[in-house]
Amino acid sequence: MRALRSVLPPLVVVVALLVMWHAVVVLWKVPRYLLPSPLVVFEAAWQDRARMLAATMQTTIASVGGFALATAIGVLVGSLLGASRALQRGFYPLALLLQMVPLVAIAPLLVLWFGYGLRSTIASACIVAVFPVLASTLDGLRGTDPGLQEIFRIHRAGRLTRWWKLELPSSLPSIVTGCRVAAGLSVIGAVVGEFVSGYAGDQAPLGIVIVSGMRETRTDLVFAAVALSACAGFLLFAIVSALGWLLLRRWHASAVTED
Amino acid sequence: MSVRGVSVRFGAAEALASASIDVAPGEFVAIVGDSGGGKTTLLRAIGGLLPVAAGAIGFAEAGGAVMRPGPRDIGFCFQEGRLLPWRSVLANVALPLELEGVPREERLRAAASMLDRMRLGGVERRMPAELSGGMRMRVAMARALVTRPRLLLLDEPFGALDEVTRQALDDELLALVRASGATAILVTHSIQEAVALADRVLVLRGRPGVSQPPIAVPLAARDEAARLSVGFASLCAQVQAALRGGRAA
Repeated sequence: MRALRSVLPPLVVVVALLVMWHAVVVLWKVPRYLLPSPLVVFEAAWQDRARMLAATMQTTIASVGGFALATAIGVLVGSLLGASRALQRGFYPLALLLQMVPLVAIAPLLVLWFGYGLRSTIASACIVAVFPVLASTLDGLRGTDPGLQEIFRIHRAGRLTRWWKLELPSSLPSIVTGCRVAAGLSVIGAVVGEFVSGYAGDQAPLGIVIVSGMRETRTDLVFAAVALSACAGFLLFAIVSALGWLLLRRWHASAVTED
Repeated sequence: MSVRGVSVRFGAAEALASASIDVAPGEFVAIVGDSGGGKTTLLRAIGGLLPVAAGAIGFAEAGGAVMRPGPRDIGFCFQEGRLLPWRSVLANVALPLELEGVPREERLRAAASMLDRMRLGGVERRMPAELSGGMRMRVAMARALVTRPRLLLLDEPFGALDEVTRQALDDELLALVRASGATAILVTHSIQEAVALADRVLVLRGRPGVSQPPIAVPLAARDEAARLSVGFASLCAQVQAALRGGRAA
């Protein structure tokens, strides 16, 4: 019943929007190359299902790879910056600046460094996903309860012990939030990277399906690829949220009150 | 335990002007005083959490020297409990031993037996968030006692609890401290609590605080009846008077 109550409203909204979209296309006789109706999009995707499935797989692999890398780098670098005020002052603005560089601008460089294909797209997914993890790690570390720090100080716990047994677990709720944002972003990063660095061919990722769909005015396939990448992003987000909930459910308010 | 002419500064501000007291092994001393008078500051200085600007703190050794207590010698219990919310009750109680490098089996056994002694065996696997405030404080007390410290430092441990729970926990605390043989120093804003628990009460007067001659509490029994006796009331009045700076009425 509770599951139904949380799934039903968005489902109703999505179905209603699809119906409206279809109605607009039919009533105004919009040509297919401008805006195909959802039925046409679905049909096109179904006909090309082997290719679409492979493309979705490729993009998902790149996203998951980039996300995992971003989580590892973000937590590690965030912890290093959190350990030292001086490091933080020196490097945090730099990290912020890097975050401001448009991904599209560096994507060609990634091809130069990592070649065409998966390695480049993982790198580009990682680049957009790393900052939220880093920032949330830093936030979490700085928010560690000074009272709990004192307990560890009383027993003269070393820097590493404090990080592993106190600061990192206490940052976990914040890190999980950062990872949730990063999960969605990593798919965006992967698709943008694929525009530039993706392989064409029968293992082409969604980014390439979109680019070649535009070139061949197969707008229906473009829409299908966009919808599939959104689904991949949503799925990744849902999985990360669920993992976060499992980690936090017994002690943190954000998990206890979640429905 | 010897505290001699201790003062503490935070930058330019003096938080504690001068405090002295000699605490005998196994004695229970309560510290009361105006808020901002340095009660908690004194306790934290005793625990080694604050550097002292002047004076000396330590266990009195033969020949008049004082020795700083080590981390295992001291059990700390704070008002907020300060349990790690991501750890079970058992793992929380075992934490001080863990930080002191005691092997896993041994520290879990020690924590479990401490919890059993406090009749908390049933909540070992629970998380702090699942416990009531009074329960959490008892777990914090178990954690403070798990290293079998020579000195127990209590910073308004039950200040956030309701009166009934607090009195029950006071009784339990007293029994535990006596059974462990530890010296206990309690900071409290409640004169009644100080007189009910302590062998002697140290009054810090003024801001920053200056310690007054300790007031002995010669109560034979520490039960409900004792708390209602005339002697108890007059002791409270005596402490109150010392706080105000006048003579006992």
